[in-house]
Amino acid sequence: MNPVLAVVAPLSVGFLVPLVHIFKKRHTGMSVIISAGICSVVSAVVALSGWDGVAVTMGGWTPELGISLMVDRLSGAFLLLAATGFPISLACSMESFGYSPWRFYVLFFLSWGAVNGIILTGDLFNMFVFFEIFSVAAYLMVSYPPRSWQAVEASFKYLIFGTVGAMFLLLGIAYSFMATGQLNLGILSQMMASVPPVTLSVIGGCLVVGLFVKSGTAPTHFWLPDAHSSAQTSVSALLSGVLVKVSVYALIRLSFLLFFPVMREVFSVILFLGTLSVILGHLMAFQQEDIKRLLAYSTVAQIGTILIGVGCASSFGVSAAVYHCFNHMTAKMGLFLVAGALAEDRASRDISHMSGLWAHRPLFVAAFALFAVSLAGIPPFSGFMSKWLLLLASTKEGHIVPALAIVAGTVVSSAYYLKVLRAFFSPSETPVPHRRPRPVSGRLVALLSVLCVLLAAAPFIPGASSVLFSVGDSAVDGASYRDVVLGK
Amino acid sequence: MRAQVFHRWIGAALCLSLGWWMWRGLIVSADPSLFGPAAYYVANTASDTGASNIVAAILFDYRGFDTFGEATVIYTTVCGVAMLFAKRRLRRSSWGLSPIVKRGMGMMVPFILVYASSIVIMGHITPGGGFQGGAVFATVTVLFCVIYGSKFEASRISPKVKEVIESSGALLFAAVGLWGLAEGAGFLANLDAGFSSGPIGSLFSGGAIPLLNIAVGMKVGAGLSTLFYSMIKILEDPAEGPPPEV
Repeated sequence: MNPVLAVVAPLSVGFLVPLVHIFKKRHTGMSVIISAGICSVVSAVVALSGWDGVAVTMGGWTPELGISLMVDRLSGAFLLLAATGFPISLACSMESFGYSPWRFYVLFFLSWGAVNGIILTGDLFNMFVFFEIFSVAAYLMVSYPPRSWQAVEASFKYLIFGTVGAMFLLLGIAYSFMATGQLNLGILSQMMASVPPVTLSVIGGCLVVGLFVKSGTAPTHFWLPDAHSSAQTSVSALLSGVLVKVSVYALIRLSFLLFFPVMREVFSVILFLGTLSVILGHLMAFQQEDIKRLLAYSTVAQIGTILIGVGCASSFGVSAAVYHCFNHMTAKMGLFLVAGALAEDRASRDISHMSGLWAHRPLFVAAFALFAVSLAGIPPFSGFMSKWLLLLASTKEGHIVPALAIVAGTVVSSAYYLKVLRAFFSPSETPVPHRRPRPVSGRLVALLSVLCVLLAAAPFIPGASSVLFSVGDSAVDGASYRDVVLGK
Repeated sequence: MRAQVFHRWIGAALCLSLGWWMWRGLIVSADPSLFGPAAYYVANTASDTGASNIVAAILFDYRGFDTFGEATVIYTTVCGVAMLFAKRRLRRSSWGLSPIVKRGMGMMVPFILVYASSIVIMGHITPGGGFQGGAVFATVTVLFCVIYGSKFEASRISPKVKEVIESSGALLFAAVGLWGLAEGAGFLANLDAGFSSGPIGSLFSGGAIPLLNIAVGMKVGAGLSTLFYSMIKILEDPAEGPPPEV
């Protein structure tokens, strides 16, 4: 299937929702659900049909003149991640907001289209354009509903930081265009060797710093805990599960294509900041009293863990990092869904108030425990598998400190998840004030638990593990990327 | 106080060193001639696309997919601002300026509309295009809001109509793109997809470029107008009474 459909389908749904709302108001909800299903299927088909590399250029031009879209194993994997995460978040939003905030669904589909665009594009400036759509939609989704000032403030903070990151990205793109006159990633990756080292350092610095800001890595993570904790439950799950991973994808793609052969220092920086994020994120999460802030800081740490895999600059490291992206998505989306539901029932997000919930919703608490032990890295759950692979990758390249940071982070995260679980299991005198049935959230949590358990088995199934390791190969192999994009 | 001054100096030093680092990275070529795709665009735009405005050809043909994305950024922003400012208690006002200004505006409106449509329709042969023309269209509704009050504006062009225009513009853009895909020439293909090139410099030239200009004009014009209208409702809180006479 033509990759462009995975971008145009969600965007067109975003343009159609207002018309459906104006002319056929009754059908808004149903059409949103159906079109989400269609978009998800289209993305999955594009990912699977392009598994061995497919590229198209818009308007029938050559890749040098037009804009290319390209699917390979790395982009296919992230496309599948988005195609899983978006419908789950949509189902949760539908349950908690109903169909009335149709503008929210417009933003939702536009951000989906933009995410697919970032994942598929083979053109540096096109990537920036999609980053803009995705960021604007994300700022606005954080501030929904505009009643609470915390959400608006967090959204404003996110806007400022996101814009700074976007400006760095744009500067990097401008410098690389000035040096080469090209925007196609395949051609750029060939021409990077001829760029003078002084300019190359500016290009690398600007692009990597911009993506660090967008992905919430340690020294520039300040927006992330606010934005992820003040947003509504479904939006928090989407932000932590999918949207942050898109910036990680862009970082993997750009660093390996543009800087892998010519400037290895980029990977040392990624490794260093990844380690810093792991340490800071876990320590900050340990101090939180607010359950959603705790989960948000844990996201900072997990992004750091993923970046350690990227910073190893090896195929094995990237495979482990992508595997950890999937594990983090399932577990963290589940944690946010459960925490959001329980916090709403208790009418408080303070961990010390969240007692007596085991008697109230045993299945939700059990699922929370499953996701928590998985993410903390207790064997034999999925988080342990990916962290183990990351440890192997990191020590194989001789990086001992990052490996130790991952291990220490596991201890700290077990401590803070135990703190939360202790509150959940402890008995409470005051009854839980709200008891709204949550059939959809319950099923979503069950689905995510099943996925979480299945992912743990992935490295032991021979077919699945070879697929997993081929993802890393396609990320590292710039020559095969060029062959696909330039049509050789 | 001392700490504040100290922090300022640190900030200034950081900015200066960042600036110096970027300044060193600049590449100023002694040869001013174009290279890479830019040289190709300048040489071949007319024969490739039939448009005499090279910028329009790059925006809507060679790199049309970027423009699709850029127009969507505006669409996203408009949708979000309308969502943030969707407060029921803010009503539309009918306060305006003096009758002389109202009359004068009435005489100017047709000319502004003609000017805006000429910018949009002739985007492929003269400087201009959908973004610029759409912005001029939006000034008409902005002037309506300022001079006659937002109630008048809403009674002439209801917010729903704007919403419909905006979304149909976006869909028209996507439809032109998908037409190229259906013809087997790729998304947003122009002449390859069967759009006729026409004689260079005439109104009916450039294949799909005028069509895309109209689509972007609809999107941007209605979008900017919605943006202004949503925000001016905040300024015009009826509880505060009319603004002072000047």
